[in-house]
Amino acid sequence: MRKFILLSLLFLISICGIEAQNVSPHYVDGMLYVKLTDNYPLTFKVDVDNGRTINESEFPFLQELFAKYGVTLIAQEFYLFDDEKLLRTLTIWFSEVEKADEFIAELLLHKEIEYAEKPTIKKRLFNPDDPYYGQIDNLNMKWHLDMIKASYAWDLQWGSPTIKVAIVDDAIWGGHEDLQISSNNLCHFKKVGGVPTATTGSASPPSSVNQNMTCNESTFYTNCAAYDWSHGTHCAGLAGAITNNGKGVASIGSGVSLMGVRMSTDDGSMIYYNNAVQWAAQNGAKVISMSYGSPLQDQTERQVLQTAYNRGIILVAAAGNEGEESDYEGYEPNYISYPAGYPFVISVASVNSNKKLSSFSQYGPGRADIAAPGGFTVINNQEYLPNILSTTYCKTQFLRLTGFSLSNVYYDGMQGTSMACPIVAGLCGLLASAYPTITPAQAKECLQSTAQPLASGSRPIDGNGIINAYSAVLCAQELAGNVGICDKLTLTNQISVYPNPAQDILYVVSEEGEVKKIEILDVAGRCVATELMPKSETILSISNLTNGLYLLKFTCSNNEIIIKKFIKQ
Amino acid sequence: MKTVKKYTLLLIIIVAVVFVSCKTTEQNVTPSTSGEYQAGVVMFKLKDDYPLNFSVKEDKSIDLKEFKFLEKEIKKFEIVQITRPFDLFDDPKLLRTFKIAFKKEKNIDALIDALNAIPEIEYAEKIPIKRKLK
Repeated sequence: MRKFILLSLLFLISICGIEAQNVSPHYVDGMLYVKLTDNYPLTFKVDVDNGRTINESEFPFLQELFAKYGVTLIAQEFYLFDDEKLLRTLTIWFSEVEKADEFIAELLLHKEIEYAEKPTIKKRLFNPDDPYYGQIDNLNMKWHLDMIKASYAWDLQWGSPTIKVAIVDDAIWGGHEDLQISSNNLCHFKKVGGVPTATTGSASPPSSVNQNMTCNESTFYTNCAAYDWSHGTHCAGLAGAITNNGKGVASIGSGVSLMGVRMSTDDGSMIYYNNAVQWAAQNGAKVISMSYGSPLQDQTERQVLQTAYNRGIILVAAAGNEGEESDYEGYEPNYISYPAGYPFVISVASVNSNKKLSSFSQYGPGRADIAAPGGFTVINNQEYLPNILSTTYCKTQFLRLTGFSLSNVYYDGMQGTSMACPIVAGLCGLLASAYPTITPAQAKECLQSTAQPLASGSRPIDGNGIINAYSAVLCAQELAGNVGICDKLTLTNQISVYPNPAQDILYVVSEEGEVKKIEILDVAGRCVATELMPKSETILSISNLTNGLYLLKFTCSNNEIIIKKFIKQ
Repeated sequence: MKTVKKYTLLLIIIVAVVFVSCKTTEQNVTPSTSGEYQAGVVMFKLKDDYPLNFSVKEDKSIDLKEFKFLEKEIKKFEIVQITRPFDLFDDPKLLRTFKIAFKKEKNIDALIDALNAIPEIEYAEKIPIKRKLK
């Protein structure tokens, strides 16, 4: 019996070994999809009775490569409706699993091949059990997380408690069931001898605010203090509400340590913003979320933020809600709001569910670097609720008054670039969890280079579009060297690299001034050579490199990253 | 009875005056600037080469006597306190940045002009009030 169990175990282990992914966590080892060009004749023989396999000899121009990489099987797996493109898409299994990228690079040198790629591993998407991560009254309350591909991102990366994301805002109720912020990470300012002094332990609204008040339609817009004082708590939930705890909402940055820093006086004046940023930075914040603004900039604020940035703290701010009309006398609509307008701050515009900028959002150059959900659900160009659901200091007011069945819970809807901002800050918390030493510039680059485009007809922003949490996390993992290959980044034909394969010298040709840095990375993602400010034609000496596949990473003048591959032989 | 009424009235007037004056010092707006700046406080920064040899107390305040070049402004604008609120990562620019609290709130623009005219000062500025963006 023991022998039987042992043999069974050995059998299971051997099966697992065959199926194990030892090289890449994201791609199927030892397998490629190879597409022949559309004009390649469909004359090769397919053994339809034997798994649609194809004999290697049908592709004489690839015989050498097949031998080099140990090709074991070729099949025409996909033949849906005899689609001509699918009939030319072959699956190739090979034994030299660690040389997949090299194999791809060599396949691409043949004109008969349109593309070759590694099949990605699909994962069961993480589906948190938070009750409001779903529908209420048949309406999608998590549209903002769906849009940014949060569930895909959670499969890659969970927030690390060693990463602190600070919410600097009017007030933050740290004791909310879905926040549970440690008292060490909560702070407000009290005047001691006339000087605002940091006091830890609480960032809650003033005790004069009745948390359990019930507002009606007539008082909601004029006298609903508990809702008004819920802004910071709402932002905190969007950045890092506890996810998969069976309570309330889910959040993109769940798992990070939240900090709540109250910067309002008891009368609601938002004046301690510099003190609050300083406290957050001095107490370990890696990311600071600032859902506030003003067209008035001050040099002191600039210097406080610059100092934080120089220490590697990622600063995120709301772009502003006055894209169409200005409440500030003497300022035209769509003014540059500060702190969002400082160049070292990631400024965030708001989009609706149709991926167009919200009508209220500031837009255009200098106003917004990236966009995130912060507005309304849009159907047939009409704005509807829900807006953005998150944690609150008050019991549900707005959504209750607008007819939702949600009531008597500390969750509510709000909209504004204020809401978009902490979603980006929470994502930055995930990026830092993947790569703790990520710089603010790298974080911004990851957000922008992986962004989803805004829908056509949207007002524009400086950056490329809407955050894509999944791709941004991949980008951070690549920077951390966890993946090594930057396949997800854009490949373009703007830059020529030749010869390829190369022996001693590699020529790189680009438009004058287009590229500001070239780095040669090995397949583990390690930089082995750097060329700063290259000329339009740059000669790279590669004679010292060992033979194999390398990546050329181009940093363009607009900070776009382009990756190309070459083989040193 | 008449005297009691008189004293009660006087007391009400005193309380009202005290209340109004308290409210005035508490306000956060300056009429001359559309209510977007904090009242009774300004920031100024010393030039980068100004020596850091003044002593800052534990509560971040600094003896007004340390700022000899401000003697005239201290009297004229009734400056009551100077603090150095920001020392983040000992940044040398922040260590030279100060906050002034003064009583003649309505003269805030004149104070800024006066400070900006002092050679030791790189800039002086009012402090904006931020708004929530929801």
